[in-house]
Amino acid sequence: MDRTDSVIDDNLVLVVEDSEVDREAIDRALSRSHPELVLEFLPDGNTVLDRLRDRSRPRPSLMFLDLSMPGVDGYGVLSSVRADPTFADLTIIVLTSSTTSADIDRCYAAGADSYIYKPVNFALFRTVLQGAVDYWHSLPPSNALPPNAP
Amino acid sequence: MHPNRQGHWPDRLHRLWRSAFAAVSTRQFAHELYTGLLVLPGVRAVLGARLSPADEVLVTRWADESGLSSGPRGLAADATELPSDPGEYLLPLAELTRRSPGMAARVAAVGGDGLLMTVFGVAESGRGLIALATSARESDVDELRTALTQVVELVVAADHRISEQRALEDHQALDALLAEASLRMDASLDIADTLRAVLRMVVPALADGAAIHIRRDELMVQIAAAHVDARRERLLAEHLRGGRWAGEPVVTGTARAVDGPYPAGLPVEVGLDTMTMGVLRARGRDVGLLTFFHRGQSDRRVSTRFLHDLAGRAALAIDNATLYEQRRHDVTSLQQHLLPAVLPTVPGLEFAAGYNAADHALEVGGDFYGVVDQPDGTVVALVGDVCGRGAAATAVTGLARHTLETVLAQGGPAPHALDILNRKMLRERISRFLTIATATLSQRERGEVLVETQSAGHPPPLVVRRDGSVEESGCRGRLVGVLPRLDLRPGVSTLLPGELLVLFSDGLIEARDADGGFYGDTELNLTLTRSRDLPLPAMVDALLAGSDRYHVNDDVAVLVVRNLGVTTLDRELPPDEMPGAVTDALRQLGHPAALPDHLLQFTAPCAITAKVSGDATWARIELTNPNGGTAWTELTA
Repeated sequence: MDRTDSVIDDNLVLVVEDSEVDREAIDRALSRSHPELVLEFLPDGNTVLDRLRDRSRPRPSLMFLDLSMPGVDGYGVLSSVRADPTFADLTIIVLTSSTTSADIDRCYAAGADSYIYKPVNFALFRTVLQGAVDYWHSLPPSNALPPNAP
Repeated sequence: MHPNRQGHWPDRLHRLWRSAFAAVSTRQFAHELYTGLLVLPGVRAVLGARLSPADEVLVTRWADESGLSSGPRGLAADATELPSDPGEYLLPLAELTRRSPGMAARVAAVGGDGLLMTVFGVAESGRGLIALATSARESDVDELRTALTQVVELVVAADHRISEQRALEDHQALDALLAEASLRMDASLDIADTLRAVLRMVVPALADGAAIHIRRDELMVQIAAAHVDARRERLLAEHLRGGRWAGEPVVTGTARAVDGPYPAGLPVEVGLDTMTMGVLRARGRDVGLLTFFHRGQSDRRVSTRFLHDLAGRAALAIDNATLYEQRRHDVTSLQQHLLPAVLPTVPGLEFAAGYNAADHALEVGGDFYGVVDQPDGTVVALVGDVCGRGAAATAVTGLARHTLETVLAQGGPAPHALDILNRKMLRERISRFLTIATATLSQRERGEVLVETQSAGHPPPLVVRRDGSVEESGCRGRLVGVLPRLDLRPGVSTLLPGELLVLFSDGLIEARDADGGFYGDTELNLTLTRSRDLPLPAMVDALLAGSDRYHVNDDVAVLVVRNLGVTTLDRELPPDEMPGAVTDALRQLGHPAALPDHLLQFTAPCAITAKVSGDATWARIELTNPNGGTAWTELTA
């Protein structure tokens, strides 16, 4: 089977996050707001490409990506995933505690689909994650902008 | 047979209630629920679904002997073909095949010959569906109906509890957002940057897009726009700037904002259909606009009350920042008016001065400096420091500068001027005192300058010699405005060409590093030695900047005088004439050196301003091009 033949599971979400506390919070939050989702966690950015290229498992349609990670950080993951056109349809939502314009611009330039501020408060964090997933899951394909749209 | 008498069902049901009431989502007890039903006699598979008020299938689950799966492919489509009105249904395979061939195939595949299902209301006007794929030969329909009824009661109760918990958490999320936004707005005076950060909290937590405008020069200016979709964010900002949205009349002031939501009027490509706008008002004035945007089907609209609450806090932050900025501007402006706009031009002497306001202060400082020409060609440089800050210190600063400069400009010697000022302050019972240092510079033969310094409670001026050594002038005296006698003891020295005199206020030497060390004790002399050949403004900057290790807690005034000696060249030249002119100028000084290579390579497209000064043993060459480029050297014979 060619790599491009991998099945995309619309309910499969890949979460790349080095913090165990944040992984647990994401799991708790999304299992409540979107019980239909199946979450798969990676603790660092080193194996993201290997996972996405694994033909034995379905590919996620959405990825939450922490920016600050040891080893390959979020920017590195973004760049390498976006460099492979096979994954052009993968929605990448960056999670970060920074709200500076420079960081946001850098993520957008690297190909992030959403930039999400990671609040400390869990209830707010759940609402933020829910908002992002709601948006991307409800967006009809015909309404999606092409990757090179302004 | 009643299900309560069937094996472990009562135990399972009991455990299910406990699990359901500990769960924060139905997903958490789904496995227990489905496997519990699956062991009932004749049950081959269990189907569950959640429907929206518009009959959209939101969640599906299927359990059979191979396990439980969430959202298996095609199940949602099959489920939409089942009855959706609340009630109980028993669908034999033939009828099921007519309604939903896909579902019938699933039931048949697990050995079932019918579907016993119930549809019931759940929170938020939704509906739930639980169905059992059964084998009629092995099952007792009444018993299964009872079991379904028990399970539906459990699911409905748990769902309502979970929904109430979520509503509470949604409220907590709003509170948390307000708290975090307020904290940020209170902690920063860069209001534009802060409000951009607040928008990042709002999107996508509460809205799919948001924008903020603030009033600048009577116009509402968009300072930030955010969209959950990165590729549409720029589109949103551009269309808002271009006025292609329903809020434009409010931005231009031709209409008042009204509570929404109402159509956003944005082009379709932005993907945002409705908007809610809140006016940021502070002290009866509209200072900005906060707008939330949503897609048509979004159910995350916040109340207008929340929007107005956030807008109110943002307005307060804008107002505070505006007031701070206005006051800072006023202070800076007043401070500039207390200092000379330009220093006089005196042949043979070069002056440069700088002022650094304390970083924590919103009040005018009391440091000042000046240079006064006297009728006989003598020049008096001075640096003073009035005790305290604010309006009272400003008044004393004005009095001191006016008194001293008037007396000095009429030819009065510095000690006399200081004495007059002292008596005036005592006579007028001015409670503040000041310190001041003066340097009277008189030019002598061969480019030498005689310096007489005075210090009225002020740090004595420093002399930087040609070899880089630093000497403190030996002047002493009492504070001005405290005692009738100043007891001034002058310091006298001679400045050779190339030597510098540095006057400063105590803020410079009292700048502290993290360990409490004073800049004046550790690095001032070193900085003077290292920077003595810099162009004078750059040397002043180096002193004011101090070191990164030091934190200046007080205002700092610095005035530096360089004795240039005799100036033999100071004019603009075509680049090709510069080397010859500089060589001639050095020769006129009697200086034996030639033009160094790095100055020979200094070029300019049209003209170079060349300055040569000094004496037979020291010369300074400084070249400047029209772009501000500078090269210099000091030559010691």
